[in-house]
Amino acid sequence: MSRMKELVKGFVKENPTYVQVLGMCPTLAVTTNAVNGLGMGLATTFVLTLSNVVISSIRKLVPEKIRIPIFIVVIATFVTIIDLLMHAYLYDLWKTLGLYIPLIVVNCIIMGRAEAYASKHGALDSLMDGIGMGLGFTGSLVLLGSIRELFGNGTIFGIKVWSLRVFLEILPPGAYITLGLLSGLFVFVGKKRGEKK
Amino acid sequence: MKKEMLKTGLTLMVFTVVAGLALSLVYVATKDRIKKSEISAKLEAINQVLRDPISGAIIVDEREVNEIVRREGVESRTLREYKEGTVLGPLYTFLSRDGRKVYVLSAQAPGYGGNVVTMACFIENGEGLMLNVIRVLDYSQETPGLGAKIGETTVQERFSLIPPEGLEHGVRVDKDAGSPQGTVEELKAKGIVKVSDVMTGATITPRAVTTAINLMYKYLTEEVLKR
Repeated sequence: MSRMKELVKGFVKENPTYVQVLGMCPTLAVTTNAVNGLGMGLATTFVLTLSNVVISSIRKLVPEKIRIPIFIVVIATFVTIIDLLMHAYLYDLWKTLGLYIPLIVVNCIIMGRAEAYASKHGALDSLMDGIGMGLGFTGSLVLLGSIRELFGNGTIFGIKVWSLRVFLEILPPGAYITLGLLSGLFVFVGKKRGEKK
Repeated sequence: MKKEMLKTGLTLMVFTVVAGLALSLVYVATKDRIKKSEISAKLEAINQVLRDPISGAIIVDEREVNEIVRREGVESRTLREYKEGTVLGPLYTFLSRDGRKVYVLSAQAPGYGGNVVTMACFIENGEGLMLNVIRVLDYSQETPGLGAKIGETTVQERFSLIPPEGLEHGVRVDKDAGSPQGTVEELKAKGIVKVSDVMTGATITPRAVTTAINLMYKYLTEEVLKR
């Protein structure tokens, strides 16, 4: 049961984007449509999950003083692996996401979970934490990307919904406004659920 | 103290060596597939620009296309840098089914968020070079819904079949030419590409494409055909 809690906490209660406000750079930059959000989210989930498991497994071998450089080596390795795999098998998405894939290395969700969670917990718990946080991040990007795509381009996942187009939504201010509204909504829902309990 | 430093250094080294080993394995495993993906993406783009925009038929023997692309490679390289942008190789030269020389090359020029890369096919005819078809290869930094509409085939078709006199005038988007009246085809003869109706609110991205076309034309006429 507690492992299940580890998994689901990243979805709403400790959502990395809307509640912890982590990983803002890719969140604001790639969410111009739902597909980009999904691609970036899944790539980050892959890196987050595997780096969490590896960091948790080697935590007793890592000297305290050099833990950060070693964590970065582990994270950068997985980012390079996902970069190579996407380049090989998902060429179009790889081209679209471009620079943002290597930048997963400096996504503070990954370093944050490595330092705050994986380095202090077992491999299985860290696996659950990685998957949960990764899926929470993916869901956040897809939600933000879908809203921006729907109002900015009239489509969701490229499928036409209506002709309404609010150009502001696909420009950077649209990302900030939508992110702010969604963050408010998540905090509100979290508080209401807390009050009920 | 020295011993501790050595231990720390060795630990770090072990981790980096293991990471390097893992990466080299993935690199070796994906190397061929990456090359294949790059070649097929380039081949697809070349195949698209080598088609007659009206009938859709390929104007060059397909076996010749594969053979020349494999011989010349697909890796982009700078052919000539200009103030406005860069002409990129390889320059592929084919012979059309009716015996005319066909040139395919690329160029990049600054768009709204970064460089926009355009591939174009020019065909020699009696009067000079004619622009057959273009494909915008990279517009990833352009604004979705605005500049990124340049990726749509219907928009790119507006740049097809620009006659020699149009290229000689210098290709411009209609907004830069003072939004003149006339049909899409009439304007092409003057080197004017009508995009304001299909890309409302975005001028910088199509302008990057026209700049790229002009640079490729300049390179071909000055450096290849030496006119």
